[in-house]
Amino acid sequence: MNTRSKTISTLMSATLALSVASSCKKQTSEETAAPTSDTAATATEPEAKPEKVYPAPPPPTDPRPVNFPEILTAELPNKMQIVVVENHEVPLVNVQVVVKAGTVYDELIGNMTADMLSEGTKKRSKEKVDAAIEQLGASIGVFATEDNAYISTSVLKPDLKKAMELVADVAQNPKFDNAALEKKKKQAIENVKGQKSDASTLGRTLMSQLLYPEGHPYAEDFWTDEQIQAVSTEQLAEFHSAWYRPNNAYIMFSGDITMDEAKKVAKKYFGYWKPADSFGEHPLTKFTGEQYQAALPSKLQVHVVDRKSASVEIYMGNLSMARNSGDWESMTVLNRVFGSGITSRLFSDIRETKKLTYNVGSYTAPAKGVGVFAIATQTKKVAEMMNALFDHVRDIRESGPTEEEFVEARDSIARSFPLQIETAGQVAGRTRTVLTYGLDSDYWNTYRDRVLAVTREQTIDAAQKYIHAVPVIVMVGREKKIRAQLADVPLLKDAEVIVYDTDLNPKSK
Amino acid sequence: MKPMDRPIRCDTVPGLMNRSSLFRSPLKFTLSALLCLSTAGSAMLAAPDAAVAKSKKKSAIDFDLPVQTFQLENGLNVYVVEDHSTPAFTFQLFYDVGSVDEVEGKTGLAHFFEHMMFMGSEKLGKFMIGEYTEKAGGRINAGTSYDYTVYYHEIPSNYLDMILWGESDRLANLIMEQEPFDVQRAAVISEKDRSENAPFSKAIQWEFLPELMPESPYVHAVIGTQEDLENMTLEDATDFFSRYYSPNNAHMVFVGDVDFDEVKTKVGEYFGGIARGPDRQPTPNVKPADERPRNKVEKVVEDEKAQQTIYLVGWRSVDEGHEDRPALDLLANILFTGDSARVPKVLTDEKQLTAGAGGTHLVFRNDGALFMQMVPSGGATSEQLQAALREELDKVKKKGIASKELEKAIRMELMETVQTLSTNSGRASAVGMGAMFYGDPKRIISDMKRYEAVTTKDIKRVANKYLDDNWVFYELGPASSDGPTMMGPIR
Repeated sequence: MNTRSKTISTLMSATLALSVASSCKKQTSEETAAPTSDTAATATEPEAKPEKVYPAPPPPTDPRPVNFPEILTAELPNKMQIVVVENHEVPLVNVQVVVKAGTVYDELIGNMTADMLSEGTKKRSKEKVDAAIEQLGASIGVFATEDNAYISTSVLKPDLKKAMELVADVAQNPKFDNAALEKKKKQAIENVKGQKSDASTLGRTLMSQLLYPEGHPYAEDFWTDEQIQAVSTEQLAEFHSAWYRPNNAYIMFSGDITMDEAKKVAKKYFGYWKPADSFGEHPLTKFTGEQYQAALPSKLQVHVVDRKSASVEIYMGNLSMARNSGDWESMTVLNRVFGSGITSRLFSDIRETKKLTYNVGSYTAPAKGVGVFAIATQTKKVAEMMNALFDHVRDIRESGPTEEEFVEARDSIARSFPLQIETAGQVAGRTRTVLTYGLDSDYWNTYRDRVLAVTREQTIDAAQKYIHAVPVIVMVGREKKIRAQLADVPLLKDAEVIVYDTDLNPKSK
Repeated sequence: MKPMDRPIRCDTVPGLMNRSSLFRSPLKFTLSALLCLSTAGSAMLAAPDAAVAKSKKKSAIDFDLPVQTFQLENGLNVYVVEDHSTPAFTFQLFYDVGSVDEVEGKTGLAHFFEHMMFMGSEKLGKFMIGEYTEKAGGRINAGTSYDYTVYYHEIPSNYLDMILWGESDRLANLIMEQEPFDVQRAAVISEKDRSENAPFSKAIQWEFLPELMPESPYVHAVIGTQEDLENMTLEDATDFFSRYYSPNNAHMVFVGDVDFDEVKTKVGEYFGGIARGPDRQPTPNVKPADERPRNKVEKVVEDEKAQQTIYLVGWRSVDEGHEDRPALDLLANILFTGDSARVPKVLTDEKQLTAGAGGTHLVFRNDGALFMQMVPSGGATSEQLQAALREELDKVKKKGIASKELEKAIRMELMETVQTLSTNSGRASAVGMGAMFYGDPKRIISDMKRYEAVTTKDIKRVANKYLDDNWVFYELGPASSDGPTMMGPIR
């Protein structure tokens, strides 16, 4: 939800290497795998000719045990946490300093602060930092998400100390130089232009504004040139001093390293970082259940970003749940049946049977606060698409998954778990999920059991609770073409159409 | 391997043979994705096993890629890397065919055919192969690039039989019928719309790259032309299948929790009975490196969907197997990759003419190009950018580079190799491509020797040889309000 993650698109991968299933949308790491059964294709459109009977595939052999690797933790005297994920397959160590200084506190300043960390420290110019880390064949990545700022690098094991010295300097002693800020401002202005020319960014950004209560940190917007120009180095230094502190951070090492080695380098390079006495309030605490409730749309409307486009980008979404909700696993199973992956109902019916698109799917975005459930697709045939989507939403809300779909989805998610923890990076990512969203410390050790404990009834409840009949609908494409097609959508033919320009300002008629 | 809470996982298809330098050091602006030419950072390098054995030169970095291999009588080549750390394995099945093998009027066929491979065979109904893998908790996908086609599964290790059963059935007994053919044609055309909907996508695929590599099999995009897709027939697909989908044109890779002897037995059981196919025809339109024309092209292309100008610059270079390729890879690192690389340092940091600049050596099996992109900043003009860029390149051409720069560039390659080898899928695609293109499954490791053999003199020499006036320089900008809208594809 921060601007950087928005900017990642996949054009060139589609351009030069094409792929069949490519549900090329963001998925949470625990949802990366795929879906379930033969589902809706047969449910909604019985085959005319008699079904051919296919032989069953050879059965699996006995499953091998799978264990989530042990995660070691320790703490420095200044309360900075140390987390170690060991994996000695290749001589590589990933170091990640995670500071709970996300953009929820201030989207623009939070992002700019993180951005400016790579612009030089009080000791080293940017050129020096770049040259030193790149000499190791590495780079230091700095970025902010909603919840955290990350300063990270991956280096060959013998280079660890040199890299740590640089990472520590970047995290603790940024210079916040005026000239560098001016440069960053220019770049930010260019970035915003890029975002405004990307259909999916336009769609997702507008959807977030429509979903969340006024002033909510998850409601995204494009920064104006004026907002960007107004940022000062003092604001950044203040933000840094308020949130970038060892007692608000942890350092995670993953790869070819032991806890002893990690403690030594962490102590040497982060042991002298000064902790803060206290921290400000988390902005999400200001929002109540009533406010979220009040933000729900009362009737169907269509929000159109008017823009030339070969096909229309469609988002249908509603507020759902936080990542640490007890319903998360039920929803994960449900969504496997509904819209996640190539055998989900949406994909098999809308892409394969109805041929309305190349790509359709749904996702639940993980968030610390209330997150979003959304369906995303692109099509030229807006009317048929919307009718099909409404039908699927109605069906899943009315009767949930079939018993067969349910079992397959549940089992498939449980079975895929070994694939999710193959690399040190994956294990580290999962550990960060626990730390970011406040999950139980044994969450991944018990994850398969949690999934296998989900019941079909729970998935039906989840469908009714988290896939709304009155979602926010956003389309990016030519207004005229869209309007003409809405007449053929019974649920939308009388719906109000609100039109926006690519700055996401409503157009007056 | 970007450590993020939310990995962006798209087609895990191994991209070009290119070392995907852009991934290693992503440019920090929106349109960078436009030029991320490779999908997974699967390096693709090569060299003989002898070199590997003594690859312990400097530093404590010493690792091997223990590949075991066998061949069936029908010509199927199989490679196995055992790694029992997690109870799962990656399976990749490469067919040695890509869009480069398509003839005029049949563009898009290789990729289109890849879709057909999911539409059913004797023992598998439509999409069942995917359903089985997914029910088992695995992932399945396929990808087509200019140079090859790959099908893969990542799956818990107790499903080995099922994978071999399904993959052998769709190779031996694929069913080609009109109805699924039409379904996939619609899907591919929709995919084309989608991929070409992003600003400049069409211009890059259908204008920039063809002008950079004229008279080569890379002049048409993998997706194909609308016309060819519409005219494609079932017969075309059937013909394509019989020409390229045979055990002797395939390379099969297993990495992960498998046992070599078991793999050997079972692959024999499932694939041994499939008949050898015809020998692969050579890829058309491939000329030797020194006969490939290098033209100077400078032009402006407008796109009304775009709100931002970007510049693309390319110089035709050499193919992956050419002796100058390692030096060119390193030259690209030195000039374009990372904030401390020469060009970004000057253009973005010192002169502030660009919001971002970066590039790579883009390498294909039969062609290549030094390639960079720039996003202008503060109203920098095309002339300013050209002058600043030339000035920087001239320095390298006249004075060469420092040995420290060369060390850094080699270190970057080493890092990338290690990162590729840190995942099962990275190892599998490195093994598969090395084996398929060069008969060297360990090419990713042995290629390090080639980098270490490059000298500063070599860098200067290739800079002078390839970074000449014959560049393809594109300004891609938003449409001027009253001008013509968008320049269509030129061919």
